[in-house]
Amino acid sequence: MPEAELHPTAELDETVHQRVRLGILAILSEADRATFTYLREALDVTDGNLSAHVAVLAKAALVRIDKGFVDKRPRTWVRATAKGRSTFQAEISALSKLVGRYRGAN
Amino acid sequence: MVLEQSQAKALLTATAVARARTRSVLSANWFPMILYGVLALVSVPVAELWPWTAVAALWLVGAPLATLATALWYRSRAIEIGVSVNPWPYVVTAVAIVVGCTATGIGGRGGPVSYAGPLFVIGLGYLVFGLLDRSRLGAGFGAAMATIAIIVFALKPQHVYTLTMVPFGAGSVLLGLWNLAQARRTD
Repeated sequence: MPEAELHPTAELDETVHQRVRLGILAILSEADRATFTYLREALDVTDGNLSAHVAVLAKAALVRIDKGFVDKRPRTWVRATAKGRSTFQAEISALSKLVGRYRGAN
Repeated sequence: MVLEQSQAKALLTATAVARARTRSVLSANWFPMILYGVLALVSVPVAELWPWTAVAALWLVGAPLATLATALWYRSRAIEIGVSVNPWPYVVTAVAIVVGCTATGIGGRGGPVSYAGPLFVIGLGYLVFGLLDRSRLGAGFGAAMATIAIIVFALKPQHVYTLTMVPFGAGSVLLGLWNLAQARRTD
């Protein structure tokens, strides 16, 4: 008997599967690094909201946070780890499969 | 995990929008395009009026300075907009262009290789930059320059430097101005 195919929702990652967290990884999949300010404006979220989501991603080792100074002003950069990039790709692939599955059913 | 099709679609769309916006912000390259284009155009009268060593000297001084200015421009832009690409593929390509142009330009000793060689290297470099930026226009321009280099090497026409540098310089400036207009719209 052939092995039952997993439903695409089983491939979704609970940590990444959230609009802001997926958005952060989407931006970092195109860029080497981005500042908190860029992410906040691009994703249209508050500082507190963004901080909470970045902390979740950092705890899961999907992003790394680098703090530094530019013209004596503190600046926080966020960059995706290798694990973060591969998790993002897997999430996009699972979401695409899911949309395709629904489309096929209709 | 219950997920509606509309939710999955909305997430995919939001992700695609965030990626496209970031790609667009990062694709600004007007400064080096205009700078190298102007340098190429300025070098044309030098090549026409003085021996080939004069234009070689112009590039030997101008190209590293322009490369340094470009690196500083990308760095300050990254700080200003708050997002940056991995610089290493660009740095390696730029160094390869400078080394390749110097080797073929001086090694050709005023012959066809000294004119066609640097243009071929520059064309390949622009092609790589275009692929890195996912810019069909930039990659196409690079491929066209490399093709022109092969043609002039085969035909060896008169005023070969002018014939190659005018389209390269003008094309680079025009692409730079187009990119600047795009960047102004995105920023």
